[in-house]
Amino acid sequence: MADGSKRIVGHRRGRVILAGLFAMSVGLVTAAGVYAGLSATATGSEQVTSGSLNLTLSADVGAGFSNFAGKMAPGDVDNVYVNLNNTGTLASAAGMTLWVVGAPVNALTNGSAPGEGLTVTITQCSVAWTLGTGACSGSTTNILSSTQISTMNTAGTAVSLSNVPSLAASGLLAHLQVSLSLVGTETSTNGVAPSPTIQGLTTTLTYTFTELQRAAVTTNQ
Amino acid sequence: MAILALAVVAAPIAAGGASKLTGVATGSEQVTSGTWGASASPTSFSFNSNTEMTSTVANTGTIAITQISYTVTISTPAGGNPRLTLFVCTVPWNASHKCTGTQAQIGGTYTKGTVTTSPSNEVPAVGGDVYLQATSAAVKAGTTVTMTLSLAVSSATQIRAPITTNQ
Repeated sequence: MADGSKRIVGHRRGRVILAGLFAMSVGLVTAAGVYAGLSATATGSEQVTSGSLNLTLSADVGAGFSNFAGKMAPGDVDNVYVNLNNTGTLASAAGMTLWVVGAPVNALTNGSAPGEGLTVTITQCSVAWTLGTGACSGSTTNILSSTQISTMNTAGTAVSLSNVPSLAASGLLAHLQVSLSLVGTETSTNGVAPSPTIQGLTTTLTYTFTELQRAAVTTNQ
Repeated sequence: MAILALAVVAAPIAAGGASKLTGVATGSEQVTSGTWGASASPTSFSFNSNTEMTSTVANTGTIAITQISYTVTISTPAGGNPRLTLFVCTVPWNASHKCTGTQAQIGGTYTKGTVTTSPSNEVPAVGGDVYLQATSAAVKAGTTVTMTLSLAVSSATQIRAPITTNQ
């Protein structure tokens, strides 16, 4: 009899445990269902395309930037004719900067011979320049007054070209005459140049024009 | 943690707002400067009698010149009052000390103990020569008088006219 009572008690405990496990599993499933039912997702989309800003140089009349074949003497002028093209999809801001570096660096570009060296002047013509004479039959705009390269030979000393207008996308600054000249006030004695000297030097000039994008625009739509 | 995440997101936005696109275009050209000058050889003449001596003047530059300045220095001999002159000829002086080309005098008559600068428009072409002849007179026997030359070419006034090239 005592053994029978023990079996009955054991069966009851097993049922209670099973019932508890069942209740817990039902509760978990229910809780998960409630959670899933409370989450919500909303989506929206918009397409955006970034613009580009590209500046290129091209020849206007003549060869454009090219090597000066002769031996330059003080007062000589070498004119080249170029266009600046804003080929990007964004307009540029008004104004540009320019710096000119020589390689190798020497007295033509670094100011080591005081008051001497190469100078640059830039003038815009409203129509194409006459290559043979270097004359402008339209109206001219001063872009850069005569400036010693030694004062603008690094990016940090680039000069502002304040008369350059804003260029529209695919717009251009056309008909620029870039005049390179040599300033020299040297006397050679018995066939010997002074030291330092601007005489007998060669350098390759790199002109770097930089434009900035137009002002940023805020759009509300 | 939330504040840190916000800062990380905000930083690129702020940087993006301050930056702008730039367009850069470059062009290049090579340039060479010329040289100008002239030299004489020899540059000094020593006279102990009345005679002629010659010198050759060469254009040592790559730029045409239009004038040479000659600075003539005459020594002070122990005695006498020598008179010296200097001439230039476009061709070599012949054996008779005559110029068969174009001749010009440089300055006037030089006397002892003087330093005089005079221009001459008879100049050598690039790579060419002209020829000097110095002449002495009234040199006292037993004395020596020396003429020394210095040649100068200034870019301001003594080289070819400027040239404008359109290319």
